[in-house]
Formats: sequence, structure tokens, C-alpha cells
Amino acid sequence: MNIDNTQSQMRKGVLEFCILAIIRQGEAYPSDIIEKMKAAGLHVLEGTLYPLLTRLKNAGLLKYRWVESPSGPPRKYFSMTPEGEAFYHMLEETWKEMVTAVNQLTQTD
Amino acid sequence: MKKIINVHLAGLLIPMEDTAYDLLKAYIESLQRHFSQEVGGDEIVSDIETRIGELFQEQLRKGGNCITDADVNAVIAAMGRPEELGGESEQRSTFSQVADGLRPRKRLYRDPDDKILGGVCGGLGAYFGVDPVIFRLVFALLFFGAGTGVLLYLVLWIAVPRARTAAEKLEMRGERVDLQNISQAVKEELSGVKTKAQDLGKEAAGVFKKKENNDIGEALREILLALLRVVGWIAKIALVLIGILIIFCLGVALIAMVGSSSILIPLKGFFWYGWWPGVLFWPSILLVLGIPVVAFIIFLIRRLVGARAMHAAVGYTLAALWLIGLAIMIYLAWDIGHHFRVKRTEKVLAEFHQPTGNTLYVKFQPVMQESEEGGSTTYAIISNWLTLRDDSLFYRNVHVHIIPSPEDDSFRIEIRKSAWGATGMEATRNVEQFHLSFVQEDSVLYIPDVVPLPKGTPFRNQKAEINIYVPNNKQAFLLNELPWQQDRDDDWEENDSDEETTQQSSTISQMPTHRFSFAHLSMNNLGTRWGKQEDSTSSVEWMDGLLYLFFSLFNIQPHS
Repeated sequence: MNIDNTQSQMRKGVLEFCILAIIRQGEAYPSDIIEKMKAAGLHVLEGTLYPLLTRLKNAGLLKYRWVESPSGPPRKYFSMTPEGEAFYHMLEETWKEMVTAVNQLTQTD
Repeated sequence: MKKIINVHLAGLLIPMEDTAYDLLKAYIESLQRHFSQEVGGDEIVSDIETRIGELFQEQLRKGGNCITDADVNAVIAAMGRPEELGGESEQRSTFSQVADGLRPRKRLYRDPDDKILGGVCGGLGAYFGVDPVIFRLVFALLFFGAGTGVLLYLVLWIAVPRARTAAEKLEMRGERVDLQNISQAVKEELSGVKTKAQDLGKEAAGVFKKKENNDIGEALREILLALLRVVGWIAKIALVLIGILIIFCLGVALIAMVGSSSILIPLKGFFWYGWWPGVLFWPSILLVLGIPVVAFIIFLIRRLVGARAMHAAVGYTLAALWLIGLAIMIYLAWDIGHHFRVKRTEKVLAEFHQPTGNTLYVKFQPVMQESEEGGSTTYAIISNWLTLRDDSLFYRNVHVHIIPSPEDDSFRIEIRKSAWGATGMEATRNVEQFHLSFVQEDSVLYIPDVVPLPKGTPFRNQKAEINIYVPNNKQAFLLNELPWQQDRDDDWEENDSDEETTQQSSTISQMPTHRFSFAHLSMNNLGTRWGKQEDSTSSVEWMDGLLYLFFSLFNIQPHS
């Protein structure tokens, strides 16, 4: 059993939830999202973010617009769609359930 | 010493060391491959590219005049390798991911670095971990064997992609595609170029040295290699020529099909009945002949342009269409075949007047030419064997046998008409549907040289055999011959042991006469012909009939 693999699977599981949570607070650009996650102590490979964003966008949960950047190519700013909002709330519920469940299980002794 | 190149990355101009560029290129290609199966894969990769561009820009702003290997490696570490990123496919099965990590997948590629022709043998060698020379020898032997090697090689050349990138070359050798291996491969490639250059220099300098060494083994090896290269070149040219020839032939066949469709469309009616076969006939021919042409042209263009691998869907679609065409063709062939199940023969003794003399002359009446002057117009003279008019099809399937029959005291003519059908009833009906009548002028019998098939009658190898039994003291001659009998004359000359007939021919040598060679043949074959069952279901004979018709179709000769 590879510990790295299990850990990254755990992180991957909550990644979508975290991304939605960040974007929900306001339009965000991928680098912002990564900075915020890093600041919160959640270390993920940057490369994992882009496929997720594209998939969420293709699923209609996110939308984006191009914003000119002073220092380089235009940037994609992501924001929530109503569907994304609903999706987020469902995920939030699951998360809360999981936190309670996991806490209960780990705090038995 | 390192070369610095300017790279255009996501709208930014980035100066990079060339090795760093190779690393980055390999990385981006590995990402492209990783996300290629996913919807929006291109978008993901271009997003990542944008991000990398930004990171590089930041790096340059901090100081440093170009991007180095270390910078690229740092960026790759931050972004993650494809196998760490996860995609939809990986989400489905984490097990296969683990398995992939343990056992690198080997793929068959053509090896561009180890090739004489297309690199097929090099790739095979890498795939099976054997010296490619073995495969080259096998192909060479197959080529001299029956030429199957050429076909096999061509197929492999078409089907197997060339290993373009470092990652693909690693896959070809079955090494794990990760960044360490890629960068190692890139380095090897670079040093390979160097050693090649060095080798060239050595070779140039060593020409004279070698003579001094007088190493016969080495010299032989060199000669062999040079020979192999020459053979390779010749094979290359030959392959191109064969390819062009194949396309040309298929194209001509297709054009001929379309061009002669006015003839073939009515002809088709003699084979198939009903709506379905009629509708399916042309699509199946177009698919079966046209798809290879299209595919070959695509292949050639791709080879010439050096385009990237064709989308698999295109190949599958072409293959599927071709198979559909083939299936329809098989169905149509079966449809014909099933109408050739039962043979029926009708035997009639013909009524005619005994000639006044002792000799009966038999003359083939050229029906085809004769009635051109008459009312019905000739639609198409397809060959000497086959004529199509707007009301009927005529084809030469009348056989005359002159058979000595000592026990008779007068001439006897027997007409045997035969045809095939799906059932006995159908066969009988097909026999009854065509009529063969001959005209007599004293001692001359005019026999039609063709079987007439009225429109609406299917071709079921309707055949007429006319047996003329000649009594002891009398003789029968065939006064003219059909074009297709000429080639049998040699046969006859050689085998002729019947001095009686030769003598007879001399008596009428002033006439443009030829004895019908079948007379002789039928005498030889008398036993077998007579012993034949009336309702034989041997498939050989109807196949024979079909072959006969197809041969006559393509034996197109100017009609005199």
C-alpha cells in the first residue's frame, strides 16, 4: 500500500469541493485559487487544477470570462453558475456528514 | 556550451536553453497524450501551457536571462507529471494506473533511428527485443518467396505509427515514460548526433587506415551494409511504383465500372431479381473498390506530408464501410449461387430432313450480326462472346459434338438444353424459357451460335449441346468456326490420331472450312459426358458457367 497514493486520493476527493468554495467567494483566476489553497495549507499539484476546472466548466457548474492582463496573456476568470451553487450545497452537506462521521470514528477512544 | 532558443509559449516569448526546450516539449506532449481521450483535453493543456508561461515569465523577471533545465524541472514538479494528475480514465480505474506504473506498456512503433525502408523491422526488433536484422532477413526471404513480404511490410508500414517523440521512443522500447527517462532519451539522442558526426569524421579519415588493416571481415560487413542499403532503395522505389500501380488499377477499374454502367446496368438484370439486389449492387461495388482507393490516397498524402497519425475513427469508418460493401457482395454472390443449385437437362431429338448426299454440313449462324440489320437494335456488343440487345442477351454457349455412331444408318441430331435453378421446377422453367431453332438447306444445317435469353429471363448458365450422330458410311463437317474455338485447334492438331477425319478434310479443302475441334474433344470425352447424371448438383459446372461469363465480360474484343 502506497501512502502517497492514498494521501493524494484523499486530497483529490475534496479538491472539487474546495475549488467551488473558493470560486463561490468571488471570481477567481487559477493562480489565485492555487494561492488560496496553499495559504490554507492544502498542497496540491497545480496540474490537477486545470483538468478539474475544465470538467466543472463543461458540466455547466462554472463559467468563465477572459480578462486582459497587464503582464501577459489574457486570463480566465471563473465564476459559479446556479447549477454550480446547487452542486456546492450538496457537496457541503456530504462534507459535513463525513466530518461528523470521521470525527466520531476517530474519537472513540 | 548551450544553445539558446526563443520559444513562443502561450503568447509569451521565452528564451530557453535547447535542452530545456526538449524537456518542456516532451512534458507537454506527454500531457497532450494523457488528456487526449478527454473532452476539452486541448483546453486543459493550453491552460497549463499558459500557466507555465507565466511561471517562466516570473522566473525571468527575478533574474536570469533564460530558462534552464532546472527551471523546467521545477515547473514540472509544481504542475505534476501526467501520471500524477489523474484524468477521467484514471478515476474510473485506479488499479490499472497502479499496474501501468509497475509494468511499463510496450507499444509497436516504427523506429526512425534504425531503418532501411520505413523502420518497420527496427520497430519490430525493439518490440520483441531482438536484433532487427532477423526481421529484415525474414521480410527479404518472404519477398523472394512469394512476394507476401511486400504486402505484409506495406500493411505494417501503414498501420504502425512512427515513433516521433522521445516518449514514444521509450514506449517503443518498453521503458517507462517518465521525465527522467525522457530527459535521458533526449540526452542520448543529442549525444547520438554527436557520435554520428564523429563517426563520419572517423570514416573519412579511416578510409586509408582500413586498407592497411586489411580487415576482411570488416570490409565484408561494410559491403553487405552498402548492398542492403541499395536493396532498400530499390525496394523503396518498387514499393512506390507498386502503390501507384495499385491506385491506378483500382481507379481505372472504378472508372471503367462507371463508364460501362450503361452496359452493366441492363446486364445486372440477368443476375438478380427483386428490389434489394438491384439497389445494393452499385453501392457494394463502389464501397469494395472505392474504399481502398480512398484509403490508399489518404495514406500516400499522409506519407508525403508527414502528417500526424490519422484519427482512429477515420480508419474504423473506412474499414467498416469496406466490410459492409464486402458483406453485400457476399450476399449477392450467395443470391446467385443459390439459384444454381439444381440442374435440369432437356433432351430432344430434332426433326430434320436427311441430306440427299452422304455428307451433312453444319454451319454456325452468326445471330448477333445478322439481326443487326433487322428490327431490334444492338444495345452493346460486349465481346465476341456476349451481345446485349434491348430485348435480349445473347451469349455463346452452344456446343456441337459430332459423334460417330456405327449402329445407326441415318443422321440423328439430339439437342440437349440445360439450365440451373434454385429448385427443380425453377430449373425446368429456365430450360423451357429459351429456344434454339435451326434452319436446314438441303445438306447444310444452320445452327445459331448463341443462346438467346429474352429480357426477364435470368442467366442460369443456359447451355445447348447439339449432338450429331454420324452413321458409319457418312460424314459431318463444321463449316465455320467461332473465334473462341481457334485456340483449341492446336490441341486438336497435336492429339489427332483419327486419320479418317484428316482425309475427309482434304476433300473439301478448297472451301474455307474448319472442322469443329469439339468434334474431336467430344469423342475423347464421350464416356464422361455420357455418364453424367441428369440432375447433377455438382457445383463445379455452374462455377464453370459463371467463370465463363465473367471471362467473356473482360475479354472485350473489337467486334468484327
